[in-house]
Amino acid sequence: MEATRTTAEAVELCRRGQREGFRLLYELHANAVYSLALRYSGNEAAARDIAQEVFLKLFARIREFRGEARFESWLFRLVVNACMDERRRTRRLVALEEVEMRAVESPARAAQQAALSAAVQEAVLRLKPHLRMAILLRHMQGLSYDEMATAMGCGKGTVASRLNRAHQELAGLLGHLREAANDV
Amino acid sequence: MFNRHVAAKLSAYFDRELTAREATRVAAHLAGCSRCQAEAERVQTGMRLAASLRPAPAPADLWAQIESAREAQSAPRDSAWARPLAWITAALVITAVGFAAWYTALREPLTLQAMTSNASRLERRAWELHRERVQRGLTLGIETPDIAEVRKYVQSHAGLHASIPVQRVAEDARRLRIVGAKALDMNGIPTALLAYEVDGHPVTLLTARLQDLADGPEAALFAKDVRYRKDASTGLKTLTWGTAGQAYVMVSSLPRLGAEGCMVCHTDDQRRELIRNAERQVPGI
Repeated sequence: MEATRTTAEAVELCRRGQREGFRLLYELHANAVYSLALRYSGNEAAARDIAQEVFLKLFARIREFRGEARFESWLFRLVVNACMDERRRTRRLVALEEVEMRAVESPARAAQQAALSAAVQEAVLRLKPHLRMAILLRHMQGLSYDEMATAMGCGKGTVASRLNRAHQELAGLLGHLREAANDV
Repeated sequence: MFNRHVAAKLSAYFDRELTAREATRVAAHLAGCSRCQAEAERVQTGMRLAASLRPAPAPADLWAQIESAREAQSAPRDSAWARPLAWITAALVITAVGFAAWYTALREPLTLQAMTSNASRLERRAWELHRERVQRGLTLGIETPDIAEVRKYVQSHAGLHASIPVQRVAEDARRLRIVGAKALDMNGIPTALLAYEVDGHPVTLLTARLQDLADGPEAALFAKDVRYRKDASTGLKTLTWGTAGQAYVMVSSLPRLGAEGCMVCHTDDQRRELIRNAERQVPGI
């Protein structure tokens, strides 16, 4: 609730053209925006470009946000569009063999979880773009299905369908890590 | 009684996003369907795997990068940044008078420098389109050697200027071939592609309004500031500049830095020589 109130304050400052408002909005949401961009694109340079594009658009369009929806839904709509645009521009491909070769071998729990996370990240990059975005919005950003529908510009049923397929495909790609996943 | 499988609803079921009625139906079906039970286990595995995804912190210098880009876009200034109006007016008048005198006497100079920053959106799009054009063929919006028709098309379909002189010099008849143009939408930004050939090399020129681009080139005022990239692996040369409110990206495999591609818009001998001289002065060319 505190973070939400602070976002509202930041938005109001931005609407009044106050520079501190833009900085505050950035500090509140930079990690989320960058994370989503990075996990979606798998590329740091692309993630920077996406994040820059999102924040520039956000600052330019802040007056369009009327507060009917949660700010994060609106923000993530910008991120989704920027990610899709980046994909259309570059069509980066992920080396497919990397997923099969990775194994969770470290005995230490923290290292095991890190290795699992890395394997899942690579598998997520193999998903089709719309499925990948659904996974990231749900599991990394914690959006509800309604919020995801707003961000992805589709219906709630489509969100459910995409998430379902994405979960099934992840299980197919990384079924050999099922036990490690159960320990998470 | 026909009991439809519920595999498609499993994620929503586990995420508690179904209505109470739907959730009850799914639960009842799962109790008696081994096929959907197997699917449920699969979906739950996928959900647990996805739950291990970790966010990544934004780079420490990302804000500085965004601020630079924002300032380059001439973001609205607040009252703390405003300069005295009289000073600005005087500076503009002096600048305008000086520029007019200088331009008529000396013609617009040109600087040609290597591009060191990440490729812009417009550049990446230009590469994509050029590759498509060369490797698979690109469907154009208009295919014609008629320059007047191409200019009209770019203006009417993309709202952009294509400042290509209709009157050509003699050498252009054997060296230059206009192929056509295509109006594009780059995620809501009107863009126009001009396809032509110089000495048999395909040249792709992509343009958009500077104000629409967050990462466009600097607009030329006193000198046309052209940035170049050479890709050793593909042989592609890219020239990027901004002028008269539009950004331009030219992609080709022409020799040296590809500046011969500039002949499409520059027919004056002096101007062509200025461009070639600028290219020759680049180290290594």
